[in-house]
Amino acid sequence: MSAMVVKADMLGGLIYAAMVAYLAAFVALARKRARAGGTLFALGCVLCLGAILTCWLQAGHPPLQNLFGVFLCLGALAYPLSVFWRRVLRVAGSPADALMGFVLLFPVGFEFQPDPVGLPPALQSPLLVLHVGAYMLAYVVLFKAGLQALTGLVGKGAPAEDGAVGPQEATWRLVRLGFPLLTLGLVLGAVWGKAAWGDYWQWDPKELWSLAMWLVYVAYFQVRRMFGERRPRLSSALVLGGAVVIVITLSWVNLARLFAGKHSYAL
Amino acid sequence: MKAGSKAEEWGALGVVLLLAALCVLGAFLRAERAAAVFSSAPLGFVWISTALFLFARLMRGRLWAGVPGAFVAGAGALFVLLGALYGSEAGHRLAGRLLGWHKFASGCTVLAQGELTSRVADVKLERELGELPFALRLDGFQVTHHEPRVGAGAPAEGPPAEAPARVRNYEASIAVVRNGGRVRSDLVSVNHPLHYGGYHFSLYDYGDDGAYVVLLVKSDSGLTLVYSGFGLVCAGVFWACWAMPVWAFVRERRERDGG
Repeated sequence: MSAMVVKADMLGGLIYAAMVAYLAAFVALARKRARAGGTLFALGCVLCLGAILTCWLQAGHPPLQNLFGVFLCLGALAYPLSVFWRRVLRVAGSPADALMGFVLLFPVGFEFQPDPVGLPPALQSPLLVLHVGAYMLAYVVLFKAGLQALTGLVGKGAPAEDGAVGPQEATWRLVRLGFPLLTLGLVLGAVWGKAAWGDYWQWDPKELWSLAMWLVYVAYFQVRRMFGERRPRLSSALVLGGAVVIVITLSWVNLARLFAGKHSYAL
Repeated sequence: MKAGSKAEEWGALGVVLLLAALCVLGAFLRAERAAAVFSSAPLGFVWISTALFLFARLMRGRLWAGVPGAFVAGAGALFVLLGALYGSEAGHRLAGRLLGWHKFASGCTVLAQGELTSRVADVKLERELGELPFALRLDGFQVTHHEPRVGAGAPAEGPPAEAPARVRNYEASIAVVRNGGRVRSDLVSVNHPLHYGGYHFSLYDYGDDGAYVVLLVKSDSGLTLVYSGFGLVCAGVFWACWAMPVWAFVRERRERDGG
């Protein structure tokens, strides 16, 4: 892994401005300044979109080839998804969402480097956007579910904002939102693997971590099926475990030589 | 919940967690060793037991009674398992013995420019497996590159340098010959394998100056089951997680408006 490098160009400026906006949004939302916080959160997202567009124009393809592009897009997703689950699913925690956006952008600003020009042959497929896009959405939603599960495990279970549901119900709603996307990402990856590498399953470390992640959420559904809302600690622990596997799959598996495999270009 | 049903539900949870644990352990083994371990006899027993357990659960109708989407997803998972078992080396050997269907599950074939071959070896090219019922010929091979861009990929400091040209694609022109006549000709590239005679042929490697290419040969047996399973798993999961809550919300709203 390279040393921390500051990006002294327009792209870097957009990324750092987005980080500042997200951090300011977190402070404002945490201090109950909803209007200012919401505006700053939206501004951070717009700046992220500007960075994505800049990368896209420079490289000639969507910035999804490596962790730089993926984390940048994850950072951009924080705002629209936060709005969606707050308004539609009535899930609380906007300050945490803004902070999550900042944390996602941090390695983009200081660690990862932009996509090199030209996609390698295996990535030249419409499934790049669909497979990676489905996974990115699923990761953000299910990580948020993990945060709600953690709130349920350590907190008193009361909603943090007016009109919001409690952590256990919020976790249930978020997992039901994210799990189909996770399933779609896994299936599209298999279909793409068949076309690009000759087989739909390669026993690649990242594939195995992804399947393990999917199975953890299947276990959560099974626990809910067996006990309903009666075993909140067990079901919350599974969703929290799923969030941990997301972090491992997205970072450790991509960065560690221990898990070198077909997905190593994601570095 | 009855004692038998309770044991079945706990058993289902145990199977899911066992498979998750196996996946995590397998991830530490690297792909080649993980493939060998997951295809071994003890793990074969786990796959077959899982398939039988899933089948029994589906037949008892427990998943359908709870959430219909779960039944569809469960049926999809069973299809994937059965398709994968049939498509495996062991599945091909069994089909050969019981049904007389003789196919290679997987292997490699080396095609030299202009020469016909039907020989298939293992993926390490160490052992010859046999011959295909048709022959393949490499008529041409080329590597194309992306346009190099000045400054792209250059270090942050120092003058802009010309980045090395990156490979855009590998393309092999392959002819299929049967009974002495060419029956098909295709451009095989990454993401565009050749499908013929029950096999998929994908680019695997190539020699200096494109003098030869190595094609990965994969049998398509079981693939329809696997892909049908993928479709059913997705349909079931989206049905249970997205369609049902939306439908419940719409119905509730209608009842409220009607009342």
